[in-house]
Amino acid sequence: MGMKNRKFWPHHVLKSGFLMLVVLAVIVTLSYY
Amino acid sequence: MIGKIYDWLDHRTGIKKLVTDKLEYPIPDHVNFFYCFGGLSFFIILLQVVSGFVMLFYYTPTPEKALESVNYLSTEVPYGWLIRNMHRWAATLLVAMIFFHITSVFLHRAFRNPRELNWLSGLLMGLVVILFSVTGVILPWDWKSYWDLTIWADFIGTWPFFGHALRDLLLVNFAVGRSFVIHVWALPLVTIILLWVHFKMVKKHGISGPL
Repeated sequence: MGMKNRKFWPHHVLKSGFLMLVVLAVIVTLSYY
Repeated sequence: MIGKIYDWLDHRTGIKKLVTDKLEYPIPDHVNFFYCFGGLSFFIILLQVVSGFVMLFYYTPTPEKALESVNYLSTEVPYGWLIRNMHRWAATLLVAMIFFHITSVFLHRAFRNPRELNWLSGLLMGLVVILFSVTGVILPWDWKSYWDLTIWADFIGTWPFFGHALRDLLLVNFAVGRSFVIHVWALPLVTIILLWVHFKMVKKHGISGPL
């Protein structure tokens, strides 16, 4: 299928790290109010 | 300099191989946004461990002192209110994340052979999360906790055959002290075991196919 099968690091770690930051920001914002 | 330290450490611990094993395995390209909910659930569980651990320093698990200690944490301790609110909101978001994770796994048909046990361990963890929230709500021992326990006890009392016995057991045994032990010791232990099984099997079977 012509897949590149990118390695977990750094591609997926950075992407999921960004999502984790978003989740953390949502939790902190909700907690603040 | 850092390379030297790394080499020194690797010579004694073999850390390079560990890091390579954990970080360099390939992930199929069809992985997209809908595969993130399991990992985010785990991230929120880690947040719960940290915020819960901080609150352990201030909480007193007795009916007389529980609310007082929670109020002290919320009003006197620097950022105690933030830690407590984060624990509460993260719990709510965890339920949402788990719901999305289950839905995604279901729609990808990732529960089928050979992943049945992974599906089962995940559902068990869902049950554990419900038990976490039931015991966690009781801990501050304010009016909400009191009525929550009352509602659960009444509900369980309506179950056939063993309902009454179970309700009495709950009311006699499940006040603040024991809820605390279950919330802080028993359930985390069960969660660690189930998570370990869950992750081991994800690694073994790999990520499931595209839709």
